[in-house]
Amino acid sequence: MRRPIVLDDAWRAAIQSRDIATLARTITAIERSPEFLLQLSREVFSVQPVSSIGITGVPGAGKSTLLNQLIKHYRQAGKNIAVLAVDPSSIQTGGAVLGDRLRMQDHALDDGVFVRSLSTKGQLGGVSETTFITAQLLKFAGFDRIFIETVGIGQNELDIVRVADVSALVFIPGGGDYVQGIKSGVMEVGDVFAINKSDLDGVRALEKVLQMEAHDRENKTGFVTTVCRTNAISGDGVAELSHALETALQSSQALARRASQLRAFSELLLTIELRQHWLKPFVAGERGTAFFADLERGKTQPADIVDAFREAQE
Amino acid sequence: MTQPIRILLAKIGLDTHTIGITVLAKELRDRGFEVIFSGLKQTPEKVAHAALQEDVDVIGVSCLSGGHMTHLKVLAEKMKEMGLDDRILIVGGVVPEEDVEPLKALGVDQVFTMGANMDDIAAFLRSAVSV
Repeated sequence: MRRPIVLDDAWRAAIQSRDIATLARTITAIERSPEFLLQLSREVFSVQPVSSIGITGVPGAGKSTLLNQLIKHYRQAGKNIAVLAVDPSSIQTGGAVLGDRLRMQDHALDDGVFVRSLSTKGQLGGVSETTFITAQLLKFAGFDRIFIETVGIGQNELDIVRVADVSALVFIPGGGDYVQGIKSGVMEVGDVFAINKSDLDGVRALEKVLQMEAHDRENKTGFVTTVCRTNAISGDGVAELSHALETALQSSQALARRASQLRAFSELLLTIELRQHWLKPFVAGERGTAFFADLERGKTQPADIVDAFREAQE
Repeated sequence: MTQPIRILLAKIGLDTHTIGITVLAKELRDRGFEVIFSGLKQTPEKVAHAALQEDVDVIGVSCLSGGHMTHLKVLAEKMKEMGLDDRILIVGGVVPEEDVEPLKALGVDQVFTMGANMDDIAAFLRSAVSV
Protein backbone atom coordinates (compact mmCIF):
# COMPACT_ATOMS: atom_id res chain seq x y z
CA MET A 1 0.00 0.00 0.00
CA ARG A 2 1.33 3.45 -0.96
CA ARG A 3 1.82 6.06 1.72
CA PRO A 4 -0.84 8.78 1.50
CA ILE A 5 0.37 12.27 0.58
CA VAL A 6 0.16 14.95 3.23
CA LEU A 7 0.18 18.49 1.87
CA ASP A 8 2.53 19.92 4.48
CA ASP A 9 5.69 22.06 4.42
CA ALA A 10 7.86 19.05 3.65
CA TRP A 11 5.64 18.28 0.64
CA ARG A 12 5.80 21.90 -0.57
CA ALA A 13 9.59 21.95 -0.25
CA ALA A 14 9.88 18.65 -2.13
CA ILE A 15 7.60 19.81 -4.96
CA GLN A 16 9.28 23.18 -5.32
CA SER A 17 12.68 21.53 -5.57
CA ARG A 18 11.10 19.34 -8.27
CA ASP A 19 11.61 16.09 -6.39
CA ILE A 20 10.52 13.60 -9.04
CA ALA A 21 9.22 10.90 -6.69
CA THR A 22 7.00 13.38 -4.81
CA LEU A 23 5.74 14.95 -8.03
CA ALA A 24 4.97 11.57 -9.54
CA ARG A 25 3.15 10.29 -6.45
CA THR A 26 1.16 13.51 -6.19
CA ILE A 27 -0.04 13.15 -9.79
CA THR A 28 -1.17 9.60 -9.05
CA ALA A 29 -3.09 10.82 -5.99
CA ILE A 30 -4.84 13.47 -8.11
CA GLU A 31 -5.99 10.76 -10.51
CA ARG A 32 -7.09 8.36 -7.81
CA SER A 33 -8.89 10.65 -5.36
CA PRO A 34 -11.33 13.49 -6.15
CA GLU A 35 -11.04 14.65 -2.54
CA PHE A 36 -7.25 14.96 -2.92
CA LEU A 37 -7.73 16.88 -6.18
CA LEU A 38 -9.79 19.46 -4.28
CA GLN A 39 -7.27 19.71 -1.41
CA LEU A 40 -4.42 20.16 -3.86
CA SER A 41 -6.35 22.88 -5.67
CA ARG A 42 -6.11 24.96 -2.51
CA GLU A 43 -2.30 24.72 -2.60
CA VAL A 44 -1.00 25.22 -6.10
CA PHE A 45 -2.44 28.46 -7.44
CA SER A 46 -0.14 30.73 -5.44
CA VAL A 47 2.51 30.99 -8.15
CA GLN A 48 3.51 33.39 -10.87
CA PRO A 49 1.92 32.36 -14.14
CA VAL A 50 3.92 29.82 -16.15
CA SER A 51 3.12 29.34 -19.80
CA SER A 52 1.56 26.13 -20.98
CA ILE A 53 1.65 25.01 -24.59
CA GLY A 54 -0.68 22.47 -26.19
CA ILE A 55 0.30 20.11 -28.97
CA THR A 56 -2.66 18.66 -30.80
CA GLY A 57 -3.47 17.05 -34.16
CA VAL A 58 -4.53 13.85 -35.86
CA PRO A 59 -3.23 10.42 -34.72
CA GLY A 60 0.18 9.73 -36.18
CA ALA A 61 0.85 13.35 -37.16
CA GLY A 62 4.08 13.21 -35.18
CA LYS A 63 3.03 15.17 -32.10
CA SER A 64 5.20 13.25 -29.64
CA THR A 65 8.19 13.15 -31.98
CA LEU A 66 7.83 16.88 -32.62
CA LEU A 67 7.67 17.41 -28.88
CA ASN A 68 10.88 15.43 -28.53
CA GLN A 69 12.51 18.03 -30.81
CA LEU A 70 10.86 20.98 -29.07
CA ILE A 71 12.14 19.75 -25.70
CA LYS A 72 15.65 19.61 -27.17
CA HIS A 73 15.28 23.19 -28.37
CA TYR A 74 14.12 24.48 -24.98
CA ARG A 75 16.75 22.48 -23.10
CA GLN A 76 19.46 24.15 -25.18
CA ALA A 77 18.10 27.44 -23.88
CA GLY A 78 18.42 26.08 -20.32
CA LYS A 79 14.68 25.73 -19.65
CA ASN A 80 13.21 23.02 -17.42
CA ILE A 81 10.39 21.26 -19.21
CA ALA A 82 7.42 19.21 -18.07
CA VAL A 83 5.25 17.22 -20.46
CA LEU A 84 1.81 15.75 -19.91
CA ALA A 85 1.11 13.26 -22.68
CA VAL A 86 -2.49 12.10 -22.96
CA ASP A 87 -3.61 8.94 -24.73
CA PRO A 88 -7.10 7.44 -24.91
CA SER A 89 -8.59 4.98 -22.43
CA SER A 90 -10.98 2.18 -23.36
CA ILE A 91 -14.65 2.93 -22.78
CA GLN A 92 -15.21 -0.77 -22.09
CA THR A 93 -12.47 -1.61 -19.62
CA GLY A 94 -10.89 1.69 -18.60
CA GLY A 95 -7.57 0.25 -19.76
CA ALA A 96 -5.12 2.12 -21.98
CA VAL A 97 -1.86 1.84 -23.87
CA LEU A 98 0.11 5.03 -23.29
CA GLY A 99 2.78 5.24 -25.96
CA ASP A 100 3.87 8.88 -26.22
CA ARG A 101 6.81 8.58 -23.87
CA LEU A 102 8.48 6.19 -26.26
CA ARG A 103 8.98 9.01 -28.81
CA MET A 104 10.70 11.25 -26.29
CA GLN A 105 13.58 8.93 -25.44
CA ASP A 106 16.26 11.54 -26.10
CA HIS A 107 15.51 13.05 -22.71
CA ALA A 108 15.02 9.85 -20.69
CA LEU A 109 17.89 10.56 -18.29
CA ASP A 110 17.68 14.36 -18.22
CA ASP A 111 16.64 15.67 -14.79
CA GLY A 112 15.41 18.89 -16.41
CA VAL A 113 12.68 17.04 -18.29
CA PHE A 114 9.67 15.45 -16.61
CA VAL A 115 7.32 13.37 -18.75
CA ARG A 116 4.09 11.90 -17.45
CA SER A 117 1.63 9.80 -19.46
CA LEU A 118 -2.06 10.25 -18.66
CA SER A 119 -5.06 8.33 -19.91
CA THR A 120 -8.23 10.25 -20.77
CA LYS A 121 -10.19 8.24 -18.15
CA GLY A 122 -13.19 8.24 -20.46
CA GLN A 123 -13.17 11.98 -21.29
CA LEU A 124 -13.83 12.83 -24.93
CA GLY A 125 -12.35 16.33 -25.35
CA GLY A 126 -8.75 15.25 -26.02
CA VAL A 127 -7.40 15.55 -22.46
CA SER A 128 -8.40 14.09 -19.08
CA GLU A 129 -10.29 15.84 -16.29
CA THR A 130 -7.16 16.00 -14.17
CA THR A 131 -4.92 17.50 -16.87
CA PHE A 132 -5.41 21.15 -15.91
CA ILE A 133 -4.73 20.72 -12.19
CA THR A 134 -1.76 18.45 -12.96
CA ALA A 135 -0.34 21.16 -15.23
CA GLN A 136 -0.91 23.66 -12.42
CA LEU A 137 1.03 21.38 -10.04
CA LEU A 138 3.92 21.37 -12.52
CA LYS A 139 3.78 25.17 -12.65
CA PHE A 140 3.87 25.24 -8.86
CA ALA A 141 6.92 22.97 -9.04
CA GLY A 142 8.70 25.65 -11.04
CA PHE A 143 9.07 24.16 -14.49
CA ASP A 144 9.65 26.90 -17.08
CA ARG A 145 7.31 25.56 -19.72
CA ILE A 146 4.52 22.97 -19.52
CA PHE A 147 3.67 21.05 -22.67
CA ILE A 148 0.39 19.19 -22.96
CA GLU A 149 -0.01 16.69 -25.76
CA THR A 150 -3.60 15.68 -26.49
CA VAL A 151 -4.80 12.35 -27.78
CA GLY A 152 -4.82 12.11 -31.56
CA ILE A 153 -7.82 14.23 -32.46
CA GLY A 154 -10.43 14.49 -35.20
CA GLN A 155 -12.65 17.48 -35.83
CA ASN A 156 -14.15 18.15 -32.46
CA GLU A 157 -11.73 17.65 -29.54
CA LEU A 158 -11.34 21.19 -28.30
CA ASP A 159 -10.59 20.88 -24.58
CA ILE A 160 -6.95 21.77 -25.11
CA VAL A 161 -7.94 25.46 -24.97
CA ARG A 162 -9.15 24.86 -21.41
CA VAL A 163 -5.73 23.64 -20.30
CA ALA A 164 -3.09 25.32 -22.49
CA ASP A 165 -2.44 29.03 -23.10
CA VAL A 166 -1.56 28.50 -26.74
CA SER A 167 -1.57 25.43 -28.97
CA ALA A 168 0.15 24.13 -32.03
CA LEU A 169 -2.20 22.25 -34.34
CA VAL A 170 -0.12 19.64 -36.15
CA PHE A 171 -1.08 18.62 -39.69
CA ILE A 172 0.33 16.17 -42.20
CA PRO A 173 0.16 16.63 -45.97
CA GLY A 174 -2.51 14.78 -47.93
CA GLY A 175 -5.36 15.27 -45.48
CA GLY A 176 -8.14 16.83 -47.52
CA ASP A 177 -9.10 19.92 -49.49
CA TYR A 178 -9.92 23.51 -48.52
CA VAL A 179 -13.44 22.63 -47.30
CA GLN A 180 -11.87 20.84 -44.33
CA GLY A 181 -10.16 24.11 -43.54
CA ILE A 182 -13.31 26.22 -43.34
CA LYS A 183 -15.23 24.01 -40.92
CA SER A 184 -15.63 25.14 -37.33
CA GLY A 185 -14.18 22.99 -34.63
CA VAL A 186 -10.63 21.89 -34.55
CA MET A 187 -9.10 24.66 -36.69
CA GLU A 188 -10.07 27.11 -33.93
CA VAL A 189 -7.80 25.52 -31.35
CA GLY A 190 -4.60 26.10 -33.34
CA ASP A 191 -2.72 29.30 -32.54
CA VAL A 192 0.13 28.03 -34.67
CA PHE A 193 -0.28 25.63 -37.58
CA ALA A 194 2.55 23.12 -37.98
CA ILE A 195 2.76 21.04 -41.14
CA ASN A 196 4.80 18.05 -40.01
CA LYS A 197 6.35 15.37 -42.25
CA SER A 198 6.93 18.33 -44.57
CA ASP A 199 9.08 16.20 -46.88
CA LEU A 200 5.92 14.44 -48.12
CA ASP A 201 3.96 15.37 -51.24
CA GLY A 202 1.11 17.83 -50.88
CA VAL A 203 2.80 20.33 -48.55
CA ARG A 204 2.23 23.32 -50.79
CA ALA A 205 -1.51 22.59 -51.21
CA LEU A 206 -2.02 22.24 -47.46
CA GLU A 207 0.08 25.31 -46.76
CA LYS A 208 -2.16 27.38 -49.05
CA VAL A 209 -5.31 26.26 -47.22
CA LEU A 210 -3.79 27.03 -43.84
CA GLN A 211 -2.46 30.41 -44.94
CA MET A 212 -5.91 31.31 -46.25
CA GLU A 213 -7.37 30.49 -42.83
CA ALA A 214 -4.58 32.42 -41.11
CA HIS A 215 -5.10 35.54 -43.25
CA ASP A 216 -8.84 35.45 -42.71
CA ARG A 217 -8.38 35.15 -38.98
CA GLU A 218 -5.89 38.01 -38.91
CA ASN A 219 -8.30 40.24 -40.83
CA LYS A 220 -11.11 39.51 -38.41
CA THR A 221 -9.33 39.38 -35.06
CA GLY A 222 -5.89 40.86 -35.58
CA PHE A 223 -4.20 37.71 -34.27
CA VAL A 224 -1.34 36.38 -36.32
CA THR A 225 -1.39 32.63 -36.94
CA THR A 226 1.96 31.37 -38.16
CA VAL A 227 2.10 28.44 -40.55
CA CYS A 228 5.32 26.41 -40.07
CA ARG A 229 6.75 23.49 -41.98
CA THR A 230 8.37 20.99 -39.64
CA ASN A 231 10.17 17.67 -39.84
CA ALA A 232 10.15 15.97 -36.45
CA ILE A 233 12.79 13.44 -37.48
CA SER A 234 15.41 15.90 -38.74
CA GLY A 235 14.35 18.78 -36.49
CA ASP A 236 13.91 21.15 -39.45
CA GLY A 237 11.51 23.99 -38.67
CA VAL A 238 11.42 23.32 -34.92
CA ALA A 239 13.18 26.59 -34.03
CA GLU A 240 10.58 28.47 -36.13
CA LEU A 241 7.75 26.57 -34.45
CA SER A 242 9.09 27.40 -31.01
CA HIS A 243 9.48 31.06 -31.99
CA ALA A 244 5.88 31.17 -33.26
CA LEU A 245 4.59 29.58 -30.04
CA GLU A 246 6.52 32.03 -27.85
CA THR A 247 5.17 34.95 -29.90
CA ALA A 248 1.63 33.63 -29.53
CA LEU A 249 2.16 33.38 -25.76
CA GLN A 250 2.67 37.14 -25.67
CA SER A 251 -0.69 37.83 -27.29
CA SER A 252 -3.71 39.13 -25.41
CA GLN A 253 -5.53 36.03 -26.55
CA ALA A 254 -3.23 33.84 -24.44
CA LEU A 255 -3.96 36.00 -21.40
CA ALA A 256 -7.70 35.84 -21.99
CA ARG A 257 -7.50 32.10 -22.33
CA ARG A 258 -5.70 31.79 -19.01
CA ALA A 259 -8.56 33.63 -17.31
CA SER A 260 -11.16 31.41 -18.95
CA GLN A 261 -9.24 28.31 -17.86
CA LEU A 262 -9.69 29.29 -14.22
CA ARG A 263 -13.40 29.62 -14.81
CA ALA A 264 -13.57 26.23 -16.54
CA PHE A 265 -11.60 24.63 -13.70
CA SER A 266 -13.88 26.14 -11.05
CA GLU A 267 -16.85 24.66 -12.87
CA LEU A 268 -15.05 21.33 -13.06
CA LEU A 269 -14.53 21.33 -9.28
CA LEU A 270 -18.23 21.91 -8.86
CA THR A 271 -19.02 19.10 -11.31
CA ILE A 272 -16.79 16.72 -9.38
CA GLU A 273 -18.36 17.77 -6.08
CA LEU A 274 -21.87 17.17 -7.44
CA ARG A 275 -20.85 13.84 -8.90
CA GLN A 276 -19.14 12.60 -5.74
CA HIS A 277 -21.69 13.78 -3.19
CA TRP A 278 -24.98 13.79 -5.08
CA LEU A 279 -24.93 11.80 -8.28
CA LYS A 280 -22.88 8.75 -7.26
CA PRO A 281 -24.64 8.17 -3.90
CA PHE A 282 -28.01 8.48 -5.65
CA VAL A 283 -27.17 6.09 -8.50
CA ALA A 284 -25.64 3.51 -6.16
CA GLY A 285 -28.29 4.04 -3.46
CA GLU A 286 -31.68 2.44 -2.88
CA ARG A 287 -33.73 4.71 -5.18
CA GLY A 288 -31.16 4.68 -7.98
CA THR A 289 -30.86 0.90 -7.89
CA ALA A 290 -34.63 0.52 -7.88
CA PHE A 291 -34.97 2.92 -10.83
CA PHE A 292 -32.47 1.04 -12.98
CA ALA A 293 -34.07 -2.29 -12.11
CA ASP A 294 -37.46 -0.91 -13.20
CA LEU A 295 -35.94 0.57 -16.35
CA GLU A 296 -34.53 -2.80 -17.33
CA ARG A 297 -37.95 -4.45 -16.87
CA GLY A 298 -39.62 -1.73 -18.94
CA LYS A 299 -41.60 -0.46 -15.95
CA THR A 300 -40.26 3.06 -16.13
CA GLN A 301 -38.76 5.46 -18.64
CA PRO A 302 -35.48 7.43 -18.59
CA ALA A 303 -37.06 10.77 -17.65
CA ASP A 304 -38.40 9.25 -14.42
CA ILE A 305 -34.88 9.29 -13.02
CA VAL A 306 -35.15 13.05 -12.64
CA ASP A 307 -38.29 12.71 -10.51
CA ALA A 308 -36.67 9.98 -8.43
CA PHE A 309 -33.62 12.20 -7.91
CA ARG A 310 -35.73 15.20 -6.93
CA GLU A 311 -37.75 13.08 -4.49
CA ALA A 312 -34.56 11.73 -2.97
CA GLN A 313 -33.34 15.29 -2.27
CA GLU A 314 -36.55 16.30 -0.48
CA MET B 1 -14.85 2.15 -9.35
CA THR B 2 -11.50 0.48 -8.94
CA GLN B 3 -8.53 2.46 -10.22
CA PRO B 4 -6.51 1.01 -13.06
CA ILE B 5 -3.18 -0.52 -12.17
CA ARG B 6 -0.32 1.29 -13.95
CA ILE B 7 2.36 -0.89 -15.51
CA LEU B 8 5.48 0.11 -17.43
CA LEU B 9 6.46 -2.37 -20.13
CA ALA B 10 9.98 -2.27 -21.49
CA LYS B 11 12.62 -4.22 -23.31
CA ILE B 12 16.22 -3.78 -22.26
CA GLY B 13 19.31 -4.03 -24.45
CA LEU B 14 19.66 -5.35 -27.98
CA ASP B 15 16.48 -7.38 -28.20
CA THR B 16 13.95 -6.65 -30.91
CA HIS B 17 11.50 -9.51 -30.29
CA THR B 18 8.46 -7.29 -29.82
CA ILE B 19 5.51 -9.62 -30.33
CA GLY B 20 5.31 -10.84 -26.75
CA ILE B 21 5.42 -7.39 -25.17
CA THR B 22 2.95 -5.98 -27.74
CA VAL B 23 0.45 -8.79 -27.13
CA LEU B 24 0.85 -8.33 -23.38
CA ALA B 25 0.23 -4.56 -23.71
CA LYS B 26 -2.99 -5.16 -25.64
CA GLU B 27 -4.20 -7.94 -23.36
CA LEU B 28 -3.55 -5.93 -20.19
CA ARG B 29 -5.26 -2.92 -21.78
CA ASP B 30 -8.32 -5.10 -22.42
CA ARG B 31 -8.25 -6.17 -18.77
CA GLY B 32 -8.39 -2.57 -17.55
CA PHE B 33 -4.70 -1.84 -16.96
CA GLU B 34 -2.95 1.40 -17.89
CA VAL B 35 0.07 0.27 -19.86
CA ILE B 36 2.95 2.68 -20.42
CA PHE B 37 4.70 1.28 -23.45
CA SER B 38 8.25 2.49 -23.30
CA GLY B 39 9.62 0.53 -26.19
CA LEU B 40 12.79 -1.21 -27.16
CA LYS B 41 16.51 -0.93 -26.52
CA GLN B 42 16.11 0.61 -23.09
CA THR B 43 18.80 0.67 -20.43
CA PRO B 44 18.01 -0.32 -16.83
CA GLU B 45 18.62 3.34 -15.85
CA LYS B 46 16.05 4.59 -18.38
CA VAL B 47 13.49 2.02 -17.21
CA ALA B 48 13.94 3.04 -13.57
CA HIS B 49 13.70 6.76 -14.43
CA ALA B 50 10.54 6.21 -16.47
CA ALA B 51 9.01 4.14 -13.65
CA LEU B 52 9.74 6.93 -11.17
CA GLN B 53 8.20 9.68 -13.32
CA GLU B 54 5.20 7.56 -14.29
CA ASP B 55 4.74 6.34 -10.69
CA VAL B 56 3.82 2.88 -11.93
CA ASP B 57 2.66 0.08 -9.68
CA VAL B 58 4.42 -2.54 -11.78
CA ILE B 59 7.48 -2.76 -14.01
CA GLY B 60 7.38 -5.52 -16.61
CA VAL B 61 10.54 -6.42 -18.52
CA SER B 62 10.39 -8.63 -21.59
CA CYS B 63 13.61 -10.40 -22.41
CA LEU B 64 14.22 -12.86 -25.22
CA SER B 65 17.89 -12.18 -25.73
CA GLY B 66 19.34 -14.21 -22.87
CA GLY B 67 20.51 -11.06 -21.09
CA HIS B 68 17.93 -11.22 -18.32
CA MET B 69 20.29 -11.95 -15.40
CA THR B 70 22.59 -9.02 -16.26
CA HIS B 71 19.82 -6.52 -17.04
CA LEU B 72 17.62 -7.39 -14.07
CA LYS B 73 20.51 -7.22 -11.63
CA VAL B 74 21.24 -3.63 -12.67
CA LEU B 75 17.53 -2.71 -12.81
CA ALA B 76 16.84 -4.10 -9.32
CA GLU B 77 19.82 -2.09 -7.99
CA LYS B 78 18.59 1.09 -9.69
CA MET B 79 15.07 0.54 -8.35
CA LYS B 80 16.43 0.20 -4.82
CA GLU B 81 18.61 3.30 -5.24
CA MET B 82 15.61 5.33 -6.43
CA GLY B 83 13.20 4.10 -3.76
CA LEU B 84 11.23 1.97 -6.20
CA ASP B 85 11.78 -1.36 -4.46
CA ASP B 86 8.19 -1.29 -3.21
CA ARG B 87 6.98 -1.74 -6.81
CA ILE B 88 6.17 -5.10 -8.35
CA LEU B 89 8.79 -6.31 -10.84
CA ILE B 90 7.91 -9.03 -13.34
CA VAL B 91 9.92 -10.62 -16.12
CA GLY B 92 8.64 -12.38 -19.21
CA GLY B 93 10.17 -14.08 -22.23
CA VAL B 94 12.72 -16.80 -22.72
CA VAL B 95 14.01 -17.53 -19.24
CA PRO B 96 15.49 -20.96 -18.45
CA GLU B 97 13.94 -22.75 -15.47
CA GLU B 98 17.17 -22.60 -13.49
CA ASP B 99 17.27 -18.79 -13.70
CA VAL B 100 13.86 -18.25 -12.10
CA GLU B 101 14.99 -18.58 -8.47
CA PRO B 102 18.13 -16.45 -8.97
CA LEU B 103 15.94 -13.74 -10.59
CA LYS B 104 13.61 -13.83 -7.59
CA ALA B 105 16.63 -13.52 -5.32
CA LEU B 106 17.49 -10.28 -7.16
CA GLY B 107 14.04 -8.86 -6.35
CA VAL B 108 11.91 -10.05 -9.26
CA ASP B 109 8.43 -10.88 -7.96
CA GLN B 110 7.36 -13.26 -10.70
CA VAL B 111 8.64 -14.75 -13.94
CA PHE B 112 6.30 -15.61 -16.83
CA THR B 113 7.87 -17.81 -19.46
CA MET B 114 6.70 -19.22 -22.79
CA GLY B 115 3.04 -20.20 -22.82
CA ALA B 116 2.11 -18.07 -19.81
CA ASN B 117 -1.62 -17.40 -19.59
CA MET B 118 -2.76 -13.76 -19.84
CA ASP B 119 -5.45 -14.23 -17.19
CA ASP B 120 -2.83 -15.65 -14.81
CA ILE B 121 -0.60 -12.61 -15.36
CA ALA B 122 -3.50 -10.20 -14.76
CA ALA B 123 -4.64 -12.15 -11.69
CA PHE B 124 -1.12 -12.16 -10.28
CA LEU B 125 -0.83 -8.39 -10.73
CA ARG B 126 -4.24 -7.72 -9.19
CA SER B 127 -3.35 -9.73 -6.11
CA ALA B 128 0.14 -8.22 -5.83
CA VAL B 129 -0.90 -4.57 -6.20
CA SER B 130 -3.28 -2.77 -3.87
CA VAL B 131 -4.41 0.39 -5.65
